Amino acid sequence: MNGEIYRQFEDNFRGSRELIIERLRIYLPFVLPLKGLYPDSSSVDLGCGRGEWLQLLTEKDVNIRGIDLDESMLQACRDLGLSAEQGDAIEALLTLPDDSQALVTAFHVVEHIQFEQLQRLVLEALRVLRPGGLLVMETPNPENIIVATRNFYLDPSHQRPIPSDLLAFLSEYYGFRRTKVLGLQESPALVAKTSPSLGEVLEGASSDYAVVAQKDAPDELLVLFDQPWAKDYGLSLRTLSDRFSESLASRLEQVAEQVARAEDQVSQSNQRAAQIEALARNAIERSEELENRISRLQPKFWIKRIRTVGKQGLRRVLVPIVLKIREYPRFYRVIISPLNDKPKLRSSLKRNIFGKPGKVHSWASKAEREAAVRQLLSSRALEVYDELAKAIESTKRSGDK
Amino acid sequence: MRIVIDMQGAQTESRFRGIGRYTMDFVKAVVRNRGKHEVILALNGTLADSVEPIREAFSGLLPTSNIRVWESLSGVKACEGGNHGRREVAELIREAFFLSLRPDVTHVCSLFEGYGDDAVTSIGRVDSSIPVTTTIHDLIPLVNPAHYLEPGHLFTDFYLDKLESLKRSAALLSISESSREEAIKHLGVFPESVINTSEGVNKCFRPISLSDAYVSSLKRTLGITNDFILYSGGADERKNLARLIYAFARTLNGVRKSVQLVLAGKIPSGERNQLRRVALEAGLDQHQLIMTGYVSDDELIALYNICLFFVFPSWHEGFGLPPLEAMACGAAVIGADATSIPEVIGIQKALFDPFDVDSLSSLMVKIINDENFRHFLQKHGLRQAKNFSWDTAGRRAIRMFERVAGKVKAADEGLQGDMLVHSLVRSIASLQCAMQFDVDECATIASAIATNHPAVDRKSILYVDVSELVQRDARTGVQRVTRSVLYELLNNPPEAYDVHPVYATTSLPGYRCAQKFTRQFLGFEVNGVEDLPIDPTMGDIFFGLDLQAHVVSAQMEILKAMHRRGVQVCFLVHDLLPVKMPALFPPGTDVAHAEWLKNISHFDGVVCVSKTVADELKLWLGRNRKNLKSSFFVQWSHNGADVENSVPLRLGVDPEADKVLSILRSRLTFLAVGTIEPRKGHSQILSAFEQLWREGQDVNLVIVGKQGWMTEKLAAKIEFHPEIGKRLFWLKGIGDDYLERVYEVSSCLIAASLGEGFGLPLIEAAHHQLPVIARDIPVFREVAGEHALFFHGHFPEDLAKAIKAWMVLYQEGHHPHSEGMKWITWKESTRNLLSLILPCDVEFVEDSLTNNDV
Repeated sequence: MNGEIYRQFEDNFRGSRELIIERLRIYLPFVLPLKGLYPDSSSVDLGCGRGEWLQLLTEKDVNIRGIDLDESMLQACRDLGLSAEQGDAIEALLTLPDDSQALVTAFHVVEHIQFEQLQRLVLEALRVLRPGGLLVMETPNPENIIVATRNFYLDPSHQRPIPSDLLAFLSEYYGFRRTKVLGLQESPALVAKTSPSLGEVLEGASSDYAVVAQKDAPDELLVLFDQPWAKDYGLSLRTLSDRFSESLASRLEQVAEQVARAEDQVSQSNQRAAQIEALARNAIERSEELENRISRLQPKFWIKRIRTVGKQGLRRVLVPIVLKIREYPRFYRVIISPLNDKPKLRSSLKRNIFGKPGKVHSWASKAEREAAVRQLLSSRALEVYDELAKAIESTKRSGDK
Repeated sequence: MRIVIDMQGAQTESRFRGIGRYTMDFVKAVVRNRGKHEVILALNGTLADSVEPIREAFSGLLPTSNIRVWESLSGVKACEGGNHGRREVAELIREAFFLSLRPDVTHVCSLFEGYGDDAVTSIGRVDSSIPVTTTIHDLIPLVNPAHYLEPGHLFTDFYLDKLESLKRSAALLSISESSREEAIKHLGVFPESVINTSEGVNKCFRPISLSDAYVSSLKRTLGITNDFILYSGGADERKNLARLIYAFARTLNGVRKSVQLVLAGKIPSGERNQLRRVALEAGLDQHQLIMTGYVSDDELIALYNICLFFVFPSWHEGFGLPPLEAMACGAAVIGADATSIPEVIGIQKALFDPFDVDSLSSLMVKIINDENFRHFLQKHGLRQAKNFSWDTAGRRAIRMFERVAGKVKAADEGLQGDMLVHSLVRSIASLQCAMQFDVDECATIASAIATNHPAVDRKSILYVDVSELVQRDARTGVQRVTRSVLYELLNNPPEAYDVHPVYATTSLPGYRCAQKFTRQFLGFEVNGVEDLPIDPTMGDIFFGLDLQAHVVSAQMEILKAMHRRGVQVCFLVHDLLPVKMPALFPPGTDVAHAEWLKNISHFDGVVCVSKTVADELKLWLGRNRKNLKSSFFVQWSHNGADVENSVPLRLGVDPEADKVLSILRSRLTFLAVGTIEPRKGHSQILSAFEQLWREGQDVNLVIVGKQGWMTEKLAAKIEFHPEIGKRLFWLKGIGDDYLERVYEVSSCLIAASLGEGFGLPLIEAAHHQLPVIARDIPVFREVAGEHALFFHGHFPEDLAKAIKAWMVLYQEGHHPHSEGMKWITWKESTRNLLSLILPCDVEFVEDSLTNNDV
């Protein structure tokens, strides 16, 4: 890949220098014991790029030198006063004597080279390292699904993703005493998160990893590195997916519980509603009963009763009274005056005494009733009626005599 | 000789029992055998439900005018105290009525009626000159006073009172020798004054063969599983059913067959429970004693035919029809050796002591075990039944009537007519209770008397109901018919009748004489004239000419009472359109019309204005009216067409008229006459003409008729039409004189109605020699025949096509001329109508047509 493009690409995708240096600090727990062990020994960084690692280690007083193919990258290093040479990584290793280096690092190198070259690199790194020395290879983590499917291929110069098992195996196969796989660049927040989202499962596993391989050495030396070796680094896909499933399951369980509780509540509410209904019905019945009782106490009810039961008798008593009232309107006015403020009662009473215009009322006088009845008789029946009435009259009179 | 028979025995509860059967069968026999004598049946009109069935039963045997219904009072039954006064009055009214019939002899079929019902009988209260005979059924209460005649009980008073009347009879007809002897013994009457007519048995009781299916189904329905012993009749104590049950229980010990005891006929629940208790005491199972409840005549005949034998343990009977019926059906019959039963059964071997349970049970055992004995009794029964005949009874009765009538000559020829009424009124007024009568009661009495005694010189009246026309003249087709027929009837009344227009409203009961309206109608002065209620009596005719469904509905009771009394009630039916096309009428019209049709079908018949309507009505009645009387007639008579003779509405001619008429004359003018309603199809006509105008046809359309219901949109469309006043004219509310002139200037009439009763516009067009384009519906075919151009289809194109076709024919003069259409004048139409509703004098076919001869 053309250098310029690469630089641009790096600028776009890799992140700022400071960020990278920050990230590289993770290796310091491994590197610093090594410095203690071999304070003056040199180390080499294959594919040093812009020299972030060189800068970091140089700050820590580690004697380290960088190798890179890209002149413009090297210039950047030199501009910072860092020691870097142009050259091919494998060739550079070949020039080094056995047991000469404390540390060999290759950050984001192995994914650019062929497998045979990788094998060579590991082999040679083992040769040049001092006992207990470390080989560090950082590369994109194909366990991260979005890395393995997309991000890895953003750099056209990448060959193929290398699973961490393979890289670690390779190291041990060629004779390194032990290897450690470090997951890198995961979000600390996500590490702590117990219920990742689906997107986080797909994208949240450590996007890079590093294999730290150590050359054999007496145990007393190796012990110095136990601490960093014992730690766990990174966030695996398996962890994320397990967490995801669990959290989903527990959420479903929760929902089921909520539903069950809700159902319980509904049935309780129904029961309550039924009870309330019964109470309401009861109350209505009672109120109706009370209404009945009240209506019984009202004069209207008794008037109706009296009317239907004692109509005849009452009529005999009241008809003469009513007729008298009609004859003497002054009586009527006297009776009616206290009712002046009750217009309905007043008009009803008036109607009962004087009758509706044109209609014959049950209080009607004999003459009115007769007129109504005569209306319905044919002329012949009228003749008979008159004759009958007259005859009855005369019988009455002769009876009285 | 004129015989008047009181039929109340067939009108009360008795009609469901022996007395009712006797009355109907006996009187039919008298009528069949009357020879030269005249028989009149008198029915109590207050017992309303029973009148029609009796009329029906005697139709064909007697002319309708021989069945007379008299009005009585209600509230006279003796079982309710406080009716005494009214009952006395009712008895006087009844006797006065019978007197007015001028009988030579009166016969009362059952005197002891009126305890639990409003029947009224009495003898000799008003008059003692005309002989009255009575049928004496039995004197059971008199013979067993301890049981039946408690002192102080209302029944006792009632019974003793009737006995007094009984004693005033000129003669008694008994139904058996036994009851004749009772009468002689207990009433102290002369033997010559009592004759035994005996009874007969109805021809329907005979041996018949029944299908196995029917028999098993009948037995299953009644719960009969084995052979059974049959009893039929009531459950009074004297019927002796308790002893029968005990005897039956005892019988079961002596026979190997398993037999049931079946009591057929309605038994009141009190007695039924008691008999169940008796059965339990006697040790019978539930299924061994069966009480069937009411059974129809057919079922009874079947039971008589299939029973093992028949038993009748009653210890007191007047006659005892059930054993006779059983014998007539070929059953072996055994009965109590008491009162009338021996003479009915006629053989000692078949009798038992009704008070001795052993006597009965041993006889029953014998008859069950001894098949020969049973067969012997069966054969004997068939022979014995032949000795009893209603015709014989009828003939014996007539001989008695002849004897009695001859003896007493009516002393004064005539307490009749007005004198009779005066005398009656005086008698009523002199009653003790008369003082208490209030206005209503006096009116009821007066009304009954007036109805029972119509004025002597009165001609029969044809009442013509014009209720709608009296209230408003809506100037519809229906009203035109009403006006025209009324005019004809008033000017050319039928010979034997006076024509009285009448009307009623929905608020007051009763029809009134439409005096005021009639005078106005005929153009006379109206002052001082009153509309009085009418007094229809037998022989009158009530003709519902006008269409007023609500009035008819409100007056149904009045009409039914009229009809019962012998007034012929019939109606005119213009159409069934609201029922057949309900969507074209305001909501509720179909229901009201259907109710009107059902109402009028209760009477004598209807006349429709066309054969089409008559056919439709017959179909509709078949589907919607169950139990229609077979004598209900559905006739038809076409309307008249002469407008000038239909009391035209002369409103004078509009000043605009001349202008309009001249425009009409200037082109081919098509005329549509009729109220704008959905049914008349005006909207199709208008759309068709719009099409014609669009196609460039230069023709006029003139619509004559006012706006009717449910046509606001169409009316607006016409009023605001671009062609209005130019080639489209709408003349509403014009008089017949203007209409005449419109006819003159028109070229063709379009009749696009979806349905019509008659189709007067067609006839009127023909009358004016106007050709016609009509929708192809049956009634137009009926009225126009071949003399019109017919179209069908509901789209404007369909009509436009027909009009264009017509115009082509018209150019050539080959269009159908309407002159050929047969039409009649209103005079002829009314004469037709009268011929259909006036009774023709039917000669009465003597006997033989009915199936109950003996």
